[in-house]
Amino acid sequence: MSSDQETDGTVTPDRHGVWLIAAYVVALFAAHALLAWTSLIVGTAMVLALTMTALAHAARLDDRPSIRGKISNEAASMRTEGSRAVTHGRDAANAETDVDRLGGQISLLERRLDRLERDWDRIESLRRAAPLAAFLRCYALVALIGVMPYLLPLGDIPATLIPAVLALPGVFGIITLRRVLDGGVIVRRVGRSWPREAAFALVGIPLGVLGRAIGLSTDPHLLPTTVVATFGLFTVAMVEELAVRGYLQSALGPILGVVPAMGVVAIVGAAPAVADPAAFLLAVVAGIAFGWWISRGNGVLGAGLAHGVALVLISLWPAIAR
Amino acid sequence: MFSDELWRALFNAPFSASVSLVDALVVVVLILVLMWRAFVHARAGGVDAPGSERILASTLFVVLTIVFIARMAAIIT
Repeated sequence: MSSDQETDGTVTPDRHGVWLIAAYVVALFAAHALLAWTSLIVGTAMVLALTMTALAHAARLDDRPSIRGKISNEAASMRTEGSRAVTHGRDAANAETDVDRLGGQISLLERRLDRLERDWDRIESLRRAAPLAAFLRCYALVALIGVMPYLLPLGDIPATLIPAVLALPGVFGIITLRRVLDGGVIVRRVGRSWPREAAFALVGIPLGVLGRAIGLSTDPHLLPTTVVATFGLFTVAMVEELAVRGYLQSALGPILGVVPAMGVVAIVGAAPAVADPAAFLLAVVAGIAFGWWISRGNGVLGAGLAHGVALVLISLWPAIAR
Repeated sequence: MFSDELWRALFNAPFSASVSLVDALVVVVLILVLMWRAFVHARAGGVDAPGSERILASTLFVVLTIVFIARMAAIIT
């Protein structure tokens, strides 16, 4: 694990960051196991608590603007003090008095300089932690996206509401996530070459067929609105891929290295399926395939399309086959 | 402290209280509003993505916490 490599001028965090990530991933896993096996309430509460901790942690790691502000304020006030001391120095040289006062001012300035150096060290360590902060914030988003189906079970929602529940926030989610995550570490491009990305969508077919073979079931609530549900499933897949593969994998890459990041992200993305070992394994395999695709310099679009094809085959097969 | 029924409701029962049309629409509207805020922030701030991420993740957290508390309350009562 190359935790000290240098990428894009950013020195990555030390082993502390790697352990922290491991702890968060294990906790997300435990929360999803609780959600599926014992208690939705305790599991959901745990996911929400994890999210809160991750967001608070990210905010602490990303406190650079306030420290930078402190440093520039301090520097400005030191400059004033300095010029005052120079004036005093001239006075003292002329009158040969006031020497004690000048000495006091100089030692005060030295103390403030020490403080500035400490602040500078802190801002350096925060700069090293920037990828970790990006990971934590995205981890929070991923955990929340994972828990949403439990909080709003699709099965209880009338079919007529599916466009509102799936497609509308999905479309807006794609536009927003793309814009929001674009400026950061992160989604360098959604798609590089359209035909290439579209061709990768074919990977979704074996995944969908495998999913049906291991007994993942059709969702009867989606069937009455096949066309809209197809659209909705594709948008949901794209939102997940933007957050999980497009963002989380890019944020983790500089901390863990490309291959371990791919593995961790595949496991985090598969966490919601942890209750069914076969489905979980399939989700991890799919996650590794999508992660590999993106790590080769391709866009998120291909992974999103393949994910969507698999979801549609699993959820809507009888309606498609009819 | 807890009665057996309450204990079972808290730790074993799935969320049995079904989602009503109004619940679902309120949540969808809230999520759209928070996405709009994050989008506007990202557009205004150019590459200042961390601010938008913060809006998106923390507001979604607040929305889902409210949903969670409401559903828990529905189960307990």
